[in-house]
This record gives sequence, structure tokens and C-alpha cells, in this order.
Amino acid sequence: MLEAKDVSVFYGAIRAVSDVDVTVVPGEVTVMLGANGAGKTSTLGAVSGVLAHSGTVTVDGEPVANPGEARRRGVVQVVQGRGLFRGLTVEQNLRLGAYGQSRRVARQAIGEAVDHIPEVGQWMGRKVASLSGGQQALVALARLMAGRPKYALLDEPTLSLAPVAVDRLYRELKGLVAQGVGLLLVEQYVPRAMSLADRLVVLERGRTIYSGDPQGAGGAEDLVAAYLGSPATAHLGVQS
Amino acid sequence: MATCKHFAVPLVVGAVVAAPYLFGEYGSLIGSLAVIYSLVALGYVVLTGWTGDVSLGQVVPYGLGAYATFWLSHTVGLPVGLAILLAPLLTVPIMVLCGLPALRLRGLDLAIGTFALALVGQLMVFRSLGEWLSGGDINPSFARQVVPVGRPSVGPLALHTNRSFYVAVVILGGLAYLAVELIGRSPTGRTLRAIRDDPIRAQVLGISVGRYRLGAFVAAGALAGLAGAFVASLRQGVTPATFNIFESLNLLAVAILGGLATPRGALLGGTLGAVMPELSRFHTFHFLQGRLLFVYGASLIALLVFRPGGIASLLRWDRQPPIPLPHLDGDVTAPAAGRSGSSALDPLLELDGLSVAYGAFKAVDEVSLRIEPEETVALIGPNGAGKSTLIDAVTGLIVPQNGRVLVDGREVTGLPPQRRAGLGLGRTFQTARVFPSLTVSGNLVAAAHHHVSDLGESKRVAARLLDDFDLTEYAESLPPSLPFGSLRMLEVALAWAPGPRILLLDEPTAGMDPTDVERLAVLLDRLKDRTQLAILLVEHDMGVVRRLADRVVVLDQGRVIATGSPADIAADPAVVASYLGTSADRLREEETVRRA
Amino acid sequence: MDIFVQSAVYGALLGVGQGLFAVALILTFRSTGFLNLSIGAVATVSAYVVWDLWSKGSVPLAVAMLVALIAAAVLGLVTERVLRPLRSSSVVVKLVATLGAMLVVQFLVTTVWGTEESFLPLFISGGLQMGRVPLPWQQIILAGGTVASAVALQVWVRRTTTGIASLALAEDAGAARALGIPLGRVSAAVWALSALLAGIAGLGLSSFGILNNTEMTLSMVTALAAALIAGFENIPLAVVAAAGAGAFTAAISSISSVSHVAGLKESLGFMVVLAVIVLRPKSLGQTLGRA
Repeated sequence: MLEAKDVSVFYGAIRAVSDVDVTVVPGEVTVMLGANGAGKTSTLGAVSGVLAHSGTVTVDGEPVANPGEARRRGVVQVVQGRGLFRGLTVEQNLRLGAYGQSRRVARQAIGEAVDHIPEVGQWMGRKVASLSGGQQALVALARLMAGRPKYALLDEPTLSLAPVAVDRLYRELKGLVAQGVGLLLVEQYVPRAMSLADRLVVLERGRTIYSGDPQGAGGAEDLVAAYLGSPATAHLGVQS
Repeated sequence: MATCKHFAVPLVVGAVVAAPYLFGEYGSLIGSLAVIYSLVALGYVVLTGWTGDVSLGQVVPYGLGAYATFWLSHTVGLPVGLAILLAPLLTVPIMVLCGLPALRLRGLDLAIGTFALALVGQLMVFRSLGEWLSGGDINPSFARQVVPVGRPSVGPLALHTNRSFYVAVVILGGLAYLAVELIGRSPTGRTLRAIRDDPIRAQVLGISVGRYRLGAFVAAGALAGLAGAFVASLRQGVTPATFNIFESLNLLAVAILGGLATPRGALLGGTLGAVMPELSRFHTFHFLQGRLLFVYGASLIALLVFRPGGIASLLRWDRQPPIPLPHLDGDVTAPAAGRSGSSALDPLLELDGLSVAYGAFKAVDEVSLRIEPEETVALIGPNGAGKSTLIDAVTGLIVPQNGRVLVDGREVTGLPPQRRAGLGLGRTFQTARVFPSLTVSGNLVAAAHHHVSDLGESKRVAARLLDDFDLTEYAESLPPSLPFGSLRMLEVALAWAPGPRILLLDEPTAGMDPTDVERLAVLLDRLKDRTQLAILLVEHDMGVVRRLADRVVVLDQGRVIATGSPADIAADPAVVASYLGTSADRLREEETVRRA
Repeated sequence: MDIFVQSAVYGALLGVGQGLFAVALILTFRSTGFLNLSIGAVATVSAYVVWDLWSKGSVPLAVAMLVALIAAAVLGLVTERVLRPLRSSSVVVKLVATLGAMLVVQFLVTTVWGTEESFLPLFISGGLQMGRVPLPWQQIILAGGTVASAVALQVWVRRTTTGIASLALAEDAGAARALGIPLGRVSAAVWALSALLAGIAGLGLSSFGILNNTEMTLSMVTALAAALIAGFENIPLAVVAAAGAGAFTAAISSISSVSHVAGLKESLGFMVVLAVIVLRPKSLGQTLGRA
């Protein structure tokens, strides 16, 4: 189990995250929601070890303090915007996804990732910049898989994606979860995220305003109302 | 208390200026050098600090100014004083000649290019200029080493003493300084900073980036040229050894040390540059002797790492003054949208067979489209379908291979981006492009300024925009400190400031949370109600599309594959398969909440 | 054969050796965005160390060379560490910072060894003779070494994980960090390697001129032109371009009317740089994937 307790993140004097707890269980999805600036990305950064923070982050009891250690314990992050190296080829990106593993293990992991997402296998020699957004999302996912994650942290993976590509992405994520990977998913798109969630954390201005069972927050409509502070707007496509 | 402060500053300034004079001949020599280096540093402030172009070759106009002074006074026979005043003007045509090809360069390329130029100057030009310009009456091999320049005369008074020379130099240098200060506080100064922050954004807002950059390049050259003229007369001779690449680096180093953001930094840097070599004579600073290279190098690095703003930023001299904006009186309508007199029969925007190709790859393939006033058209399609490329072509950032773009029936296909802005086109970018070094009100004033009659009008427009776009509380803030939703709003406000008749919005809601999406939708509705605004909206959020769009155009692989109302599109199987997927439902849904 | 052609061949040979500087420049630029103009000074340090230990002193050549190269690598590591905070600054700031480093290293040279002119004897004497132009063995070996290292580096950068990581670093350090890549270690390795190459170039080239700072910096100009032609990306192309630039300047210089124009010979290299910069289609900023 990946556990973050009492996590706080400071940017100079500004407290972006205050005493937030997050739990991720293998084979389950924890969804983190919140308005822009609520501290979701910062929390994710703390959990993956990229950002300095107070509080503890542990995997099965062992502490995680920097990205290297996080990697070794199987925590892999996909940053906002996917963090792909657009000047490099798909294959080179996958190799980097497997960084830190031995040559043999890396090759295996990449092979498995390509098995899951066959299209990526056809793009190996192409530069990432030559692929469309939807295709890049698949490459980012394959790169995630190449890291043989036990816990995957995804920051708004559907940003700027065509709806059809979002469908595909969520299908693949479900597949990952079915294999036993624990997912921590930050999303702006409430209804989609709710369809996956096993547990829910809602942040507002760096603090947790709800944590626990998704059902307990009411339907998606109530959730939106709760943190929008205004009547639910139909244009969000909210279905209760 | 206030009056105390009022007098303190001029007193201190007066004391500092008077000090070299009081230290006699030696002091005046150093003082004159301080003014000279400050002038070169002022050039860096204008060119690099404000416009963002790094030139490692300021030594070239510096040397040219010196040699021009020699030529004008010795060969042409003008009085030295006149030669000094004219020498900077002579650098102008040469800097224009060098500046025109330099316009194609930016950033690192420009730095290396000017570095190479300075080296060519050092190795070839300056070594021979003495001989070429002497008119033959000086022994050539001697002319290559040093050529004589006299001291100027003011009326009957010859300025032979360093002290008298210093007075003259302070007066002239002071005038130059004032001129630069005035420019910095004027809209031109703000425009230069905008160009430095984001030249593409500036172009799209109607600013002629090339002209301003060339102007800055020439102005910096003239300032350095004046400095060169001074140094020629101060030393009463010109030697090529003075104008080498290390001198260029020294000048840059002291300019950075003083601070590139404000003319006062240039004064600090120039003074330091003159004083530091002399400090080593004094006992306490004896360790400096022979170690200047190290000091310059190490301080340059330390500055860049810790305080890129130089000493001026340490002293907080580079804060931007707030822009006083007028209070809103009544319901001032949005700025006049574009020009009147267009035929009512012409669509506002028309694309006719537009094609953009990269080699064999067709990013936009024979796209034809018409948008009428007050229409909101949504452009949807898979990633890589060519939507952003299309907008780039419409606004002039990309040249199409084929086809035409017409605004109000007028063909704009060949026009550069800055010209199209004046014809009614406004756009936002996928990643919000604003000017991060200007305050929010500074951004708005800069955007409005190039399309209204005067500064007062642009301030009124800015005040209105702050209110319309909910940005009043951020008026004096810098964009990087804005919450994301407000940053996006600022970008739309920038696009709106010149008073466009059609807004091209490229994924305006990307990354926004539902509250901000609502704010933007409400705002766009309001703008549409007040004016005849047409909107072309690139979006992935089908909810927003359904709420705002009258018509939907679907682009796939560069081609239009469907157009129609949102409901029609949601029912089109090809579109659902290639793009919409399960989101077709959102496009189709009945509205359960009425529009505000 | 015509002296023009002979000069061109000699220039090409010399150029390939100078191409090693181009390789060193490209290495750091591609990975860390630093256009490291201080490597000329680093090369001078290496040459002076060998001169001091072997030519003036009595240390065996191999040992002296080893010390010299270690000194170069150490300088590279120290410079990287000092300039590391600028990792995310603009390429221009980085350039100016390396100029600062250049001043410091030059200061080091003049402090330790003074400014007197010295001569470094050849390590390997003799060579081939082509008409009136000699082709020294030392240069041939250096050229061979340059080609070999260019090929090796190209493979290293494209195929090995550390090599690929060094490219990723330049494009998006944040994303690289999030993948668990140790930025500091990769960056240090690249700079040490680059300085090492500069040291080797310094050793190989110093025997052909006066041993002083300015000579080495001028030697770097061909390298700069070559790296520019190669877009600061393509290492083998840079070596070829260096040969070309070297051939060009040497051939032009051999024309007697040219040598009469003061300073033209030395400026030729910079004029090539200027021409390449202005006429290139793609800007250097774009090479790094950013505008």
C-alpha cells in the first residue's frame, strides 16, 4: 500500500498543500479532484518524491524520499502534459521509462508494454513530436508500463485529448488496474474519473475537504455542487 | 517628511556627479570613463534589457564612433565638438546594415553572430580603419597603431583639462540618459518589453516587431557610438587595441552587474567599470591587481546565478511603476470593433481552399469555411487534424501553399500577422501567451495601445477590460502569479483589447476547472450580446461546444469531413467513430439549464 | 600539385583535429544547453601541464599526458558544478556564463604559467610530405582519434541509456527527474567527457603554434563554425564540416594577395561563422526543442 500522511508542500512562504493524506491500494483507483490551484499536482509531486515536502510517504512501510527511491519501490509518475521527450524517438522514450532496471529486465518490460499497446510498436523509430496528441498519450502510457509500476500516479492524463482518445486511454487504465497496479489519478473531468474511482480525495486550497468512499460524496452532481458552490451545470454532462 | 525625501535624492545625485570634479584631473578622468561606460551600458539596457536581444558586439559601434570622430575632425576638418556630436549619427547607417540580417536571428544565434562580428571587427576592421580614414597624411604604419583626436571647444573655451571635459561629458551624457529614461516609461518601452516576452504574441496583436528590434539595435549602437566619440577625445587618440572582444565582454559584464532592466542600472554598471580597475591601486584593494579577469569572470557567474537583475534589482530600482487607470464611468462600450464600411453581403471571415503542407504531409487540405458576424463556429477534430495549423494560417503565422483568407471581403492572404490584427482578427493560443514581465494592466495597455488614438484611450480600454474579465484585483500583479483560470481570462482579454470582430480561440478551456469554464462561457455570451462578435472556437470539451456553438465544423487529417448543428454532428457516424466516441452523448443532450 | 590544393589538404587535416572541439561543444550543448566557450581555455591548461611536466621538467610523456587530461576533466566537473544552478536558464544566459568561466580559466593559466610565449615540442615527429606541404604524423593521429571518438559518441548518445538520458536532460529536465534520472550525475559525466576531449585536442594541436591562450581560442573558431553547420546535433557531420572549414580557410590563406590584407587570414574563420549563422534555416534554439 502506498500511503502519504500529513503531507505539506511549501513554495517559499506559500503553503500549497496542508496535511493531506492519500492512500493507494494495489488494484484500486484513488481519484483526486479539486479546482485549479487546489494542490493536486503538488501533492502528486510530493508522493513521487519530486517535490520537497513534510509528512511521510511510505510504500509498504518503507519511506520514499526522492524520485530514485520512488522508482525502486515501483512508484512511477506521469507528469501533467505527459513529460514525453518530443525530440527523441518513441523507442528512446521507452528506454528512459525503464531507466534504473537492468538491460534484460528493461527489454522485457518494454516488450510487454508494446504487447499491451501494439500501435506503439509501429512507431518505435519515429520522433514523438511527429505523433498526434492521442498517439502521444498511448506512448506515455507505454512508457509508464515500461517502468513496471506497482503504483502509477497520473496527472490529468486526458488533457487536450480528443474524446475518442480519452475512451481508449481509460480502457487501458482499467486494464492496468486489473493487473494489480494501484492508480492515483488526478482529473478535472469529474464524471469520467468517478466511473473509475474506488476511493476519492477532494482538495480545496491545499486541504482535504472530502476523503473516502466515492458514493459518500453523493452522485457526481452533488460533488460538483459541493465544490463549485453553485447549482450543478448541465453542460458538464453530469449524470447521477 | 516627503519634502525631505524630495531633496535627498537630487542632493545625493548632485554630490555623486560633483565628486569626480572635486578630485581634480585624475578624478575627472575616471568620472569621464564612468559616463562613457554608462552610455555603452545604456545601449545594453535598451537592446538586451528591454528588447531581449543579446548582442556581444557593442564594441563595434563603440569603435566606429571613435574612428568616426577621428575622421570627421581630422580628415573632413570639422571642429572636434561637432565631430563628437555627429559621430554617433554616422554609426546609424552601418548598424542598420548589420541589423537587417541580424533581424532574422534571435537568442543564441544572435549572440554568436554578434560575437563573430566583434571578432571580425577586432581582427580586420579596426586594425586598418586608422589607415583608411586618415586621408593619407599620416604614415600608414603609424596610423594603424594610433590616430590623433583633439579636445572639443565650447565657443572660445578649449576643454583641454580633464575637469572641463568631464563637465561637458556629464551634460551630454545626462541628456542621453534622460532620453533613455523617457523612452523606458513611454508606451514604446512597454512595447519593447512585450516584444522581449513574446514576439509572436506581439505580432498577432499588431506590433511591428521587426521595426522595433531594428530601432533598438540602432539606438544601442548610437549610444555606444557616442561613448566611443567621448573616449576618442578623452584619450586624444584612437588605438585599435581598445576595441577587442575582451573589452566587449567587460562592457557586457559591467552592464549586467549594474542591472539591465533600468537605465539607473546602467549608471551603476558604468561607474563600477570605471572604478574597479583603479581600485587596485589602493592598499586595501591591492589583491585586485592582475586579478581583474578573475573578478569579472567570477562576478559574472555569481550574478547570473544569484542575481541576474544586477545591483539595480538588489536595490529594487527595477520595479515597474503602477499605471494609473481612470475610473469607469457608466457603461463604456467595448472598443470599436474593426472598421465599418464593409458590405453587408460579405462574410466576416472566409477561407477559400486553404492548404498548408509540410513537404508531402498536408496539414490543412483545401479547407473552405465561412463565418458570419455574430456566429459562433466550433472547430473540432482529432489531435493532429490541423486545427491549430488552420488558425496559424488564418492569423498569418504560417504561409499557406494554396487558397485565400478573406476578412470582410478583403483578401489578407499575403499580409503579415501584425497587419491582420488591425483588420479585426484576434486570437488566443493553446498555451496561454501573455507578457510575463508586464503587470496585468501593463499587458492590457500594451495590447490596446496600437489600435486606439492615444494613451488616454488605451488606459480607458484597459480599465474596462479589467472589469469585464474579473481581473481588477490583479491589476498590478505579474502574470506568473495569477491563478490559472485568471491567466486564461487575461489572454482572452489581450485578444479582445484591439477590438476584434472575430475571436479565434484555440482550446481556451484546456486545463480549466468547471468554475472557470463557466466564467469563460458567461463572459463570451456577454461579449457576443454587446457587439456583433463572431467566434471560431477550437475545443475538445463537448459541453462547451454545445453551449456556445451555433455550428460545428469537423476537421480530420486536414479536411472538413462534416459541418452542421451540434445535434447533427453528434449523429454523424463517421465523426463519432473518428473523434467523439462516447462523448457524442454530451453533444446531443438537451439543455436543462437555460443560458444566463 | 598546386599549393592551393596542398594547403587545402593540410587545412582539412588540421580541421579534423579542431573538429574534436566541435564534438566537445556539441556534447554539452545537446545535453545541457550550455554552449561552453571555455573549452578553449581548458585545452590550453592541458597543453601547459604537459609542457610544464614533460618539456620543461623530466616527467615521462605518458604520465604528463595523463595528468593533463585528468586536469581537463576536473576543470570540466568543477565548471559544471558551479554553473549547475543555471541549468534552467535561457541558452543566452548560459553562454554568457561560460564566457565568465572562460575568463576565470584564462586567469588560471596566466597566474600559474604567466604570459610568456612558450613552445610545445611535437610528441611524434616526422610525417608524410605532399609537395611543399608537410602532413605531420601527430596531426594524422589526432585526426584519426577525432573520427573514432565521433563515431563512438554518436553510438553512445543514441543507443546507451545514459547517452539517451543526456539528450532528455536538455529537452525537459523536470520530466527527466520525474523518471528518476539522476540529473546531476548525467550532467557531470557529459561535461567531464567534453572537457576530456578538449584536453586531447589541446595536446594534439598545441605543438603547431605558439602555446598561448589566444591561439587556442582562435583554434576553436573552426570548431564553432563546424558545430553550427552540423546544427549542434550531428556529431559526424560536424567533423566533416570542420575538415571543410579548415580546408577552406587554409586554401584561401595560401593565396598571396590574401595574406597582404591585414587580419584577413585570422578573420576568415569568423566570417564563415557569420555566414553560417545568417544563412542557416533552423535556429539553435529550435535544436533543443524549444523556441
